[in-house]
Amino acid sequence: MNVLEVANLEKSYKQFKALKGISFDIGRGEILGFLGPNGAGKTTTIQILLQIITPDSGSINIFGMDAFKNREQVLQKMNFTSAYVHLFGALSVWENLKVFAKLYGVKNYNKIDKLLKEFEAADLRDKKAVTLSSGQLTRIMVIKALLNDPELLLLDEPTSSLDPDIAGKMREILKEVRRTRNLTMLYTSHNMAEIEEMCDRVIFLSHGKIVANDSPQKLTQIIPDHLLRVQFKETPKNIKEFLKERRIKSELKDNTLDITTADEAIPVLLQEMYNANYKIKDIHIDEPDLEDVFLKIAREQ
Amino acid sequence: MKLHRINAIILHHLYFWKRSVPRWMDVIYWPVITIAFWGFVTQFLQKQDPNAGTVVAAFFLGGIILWMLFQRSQQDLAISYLQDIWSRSIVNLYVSPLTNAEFVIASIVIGLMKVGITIVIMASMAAIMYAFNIFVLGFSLLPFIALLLIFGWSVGLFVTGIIFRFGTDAQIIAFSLSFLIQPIVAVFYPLSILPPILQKVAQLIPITHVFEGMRSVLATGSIPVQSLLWSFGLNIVYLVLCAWFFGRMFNHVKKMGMLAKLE
Repeated sequence: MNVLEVANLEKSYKQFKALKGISFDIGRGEILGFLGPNGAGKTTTIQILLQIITPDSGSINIFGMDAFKNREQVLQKMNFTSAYVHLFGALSVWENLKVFAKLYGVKNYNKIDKLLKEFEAADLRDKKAVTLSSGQLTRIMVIKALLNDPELLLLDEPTSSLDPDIAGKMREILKEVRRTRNLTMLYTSHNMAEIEEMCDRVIFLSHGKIVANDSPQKLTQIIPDHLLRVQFKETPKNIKEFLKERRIKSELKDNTLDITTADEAIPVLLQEMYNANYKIKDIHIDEPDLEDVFLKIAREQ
Repeated sequence: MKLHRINAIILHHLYFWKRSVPRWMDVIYWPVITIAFWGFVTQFLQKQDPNAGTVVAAFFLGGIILWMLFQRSQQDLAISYLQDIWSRSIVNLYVSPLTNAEFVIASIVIGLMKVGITIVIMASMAAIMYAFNIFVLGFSLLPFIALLLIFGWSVGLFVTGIIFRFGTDAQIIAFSLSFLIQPIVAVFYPLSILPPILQKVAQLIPITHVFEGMRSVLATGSIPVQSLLWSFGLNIVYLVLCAWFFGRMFNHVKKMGMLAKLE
C-alpha cells in the first residue's frame, strides 16, 4: 500500500502557478528524492503535505486517509525537518525536545537522551537553542523529527549546513531507521550525490510540473554519453584521423584525449587503439550522474 | 482536542516565561509602577478634598487594577503567538497535530496564571500603601474579572488575526489597541462624562459596564445585574466574531502560503 498518494495538486499565488497539477505516490519504506531548481515547487509541495499551505485543488491521501479531513491523525504519524525552520530560541535543547515530545504524546523522555547520544549531541542538551550553530541546530531538528517514531518523514535539505563527517553519519542513521522501522521519507537536497545515495526514486520538478520520475540509475541513462579520458605515453600521431573515421567527438590536449561516446562503444574503441599501436598510459571514465541529469533537465526547461 | 498538546504549549510558555525579562516585567514591574503612580495621584486628590477624595481614590485604584487585568489578558494571547513568530518556530508547532483551539486554551491558562500574580501584587500594594481593598467589591469581583478576561481574549484573538494577515509590521497593535479604547470605556470616570455619541459607542463595549458596575458597587453597594448581563451578552457576540475573524485570517495565511514566512 502507498503511504502517500498525491493527485492533480494545483497551487497558484495570484498569477503565478506554483504547482500545475502534479501527481505522485510513495510506497511504504521508500525514500523519494524531490529535486528541482529554486522556485520549481518543492517547498510548496512539502508545505501542502504538512497542511501549512492550502492547495487550490487536488487530493492528498496519507496512510489511506484523506489528509485534509484527518489532519490530526495524519500529522501525528508524520514529522518534518528543514534547514530553514528554527527551534524555540530561548529554550534549552532539552526543553525544546521535551515540548515537542509532549506535543506528539511521547511519554518516555529517555528517548530524548538516547537520540541526543545517537546524533553525538549529548553535550548540547543544556545549551539554549539560540546559541546553536546551524550544523548543531540541523542535528537537533532531525532529532525532533524522529521523536514521535514517524511513519512518514519529510526532510527539506536536512544536511545542508552539516560538515561532511556529520552529514555522512546522519545519512547512516536515517538509513538505519529506514531499515529497522521501514520508515518512508520524502527527501529534498541540492546535493545530488546525497540524493543518489539515499533515494530509491527521484522526482524532478520544474516550473510546477513533474518532468521526470524514476530511480537515480534509470535517470542517469537519459544521458547516454560517457566521458573517456585517455592519457598516452607520448603524443599520439594521426589520432584525429583515427577518430574521424569512426565519427567520434574528441579533444586532444598534449598527450591527453577527451572522448565523448556511448558506454558500450568504449571497450571496442580501446581495443582498436591498442591494435593501432597507440601507447596508452592511463584511462579514466566519467559516468553521467544525477547532477548531469539535473543540469540537462533544468536547462531544457 | 488533546490534553497532552495543551500541556505541551503550557510547558513551552512556562519555559519561555522563566527566562524572559520582558514577560516578568509584564507581571511584576508594570503592575507595581502603575499602582504606585495611581496611588500617589489618589493621595494627592484625597489631600485636595478629604470628603470626596476617598471615594475618588477607590474609583481610580479599583479602575486601574481591573484595567490591568483586561490589558494583561489581551496582550498575553497575542504575545503567545508573537513570541513563536519572532523565533521563527511557529511552523514547527503547526506541522504537528496541534490545533488553534489547543494553542489558544494553553495561552489562556498561562494568561490566567499571570493575571493571578498581577492581581495579587496590585491588590496587596493598594491595600498596604494606599489603604484600598479591592475585595470590598465582594462577590461582584468575580463576574467583573470574568467579563474583563473574556473581552481581553476576544481582542487578543482579533489582534492575532491582524498579525497573521499583515505580519509583524502590525505587532504594535498588540501593545496599543487597548489604549485606543481606554478613553471611552469609563475606566477612571463615569460614562456620563463622555459626549452622548461616545456614550452610545461605549455601551457597545462590554468592559464599559464592568467599570460602571464597579463604581456602582463602591458608591452605593448595589450590583447593576441588568448591566452585567448586557455586558455578558456583548462579550459572547465579540468572542464569536473575533474567533471567526481569527480563523478566517489563519486560513487566509495558509492559502497565501505565508505561515512559514511570518516574521
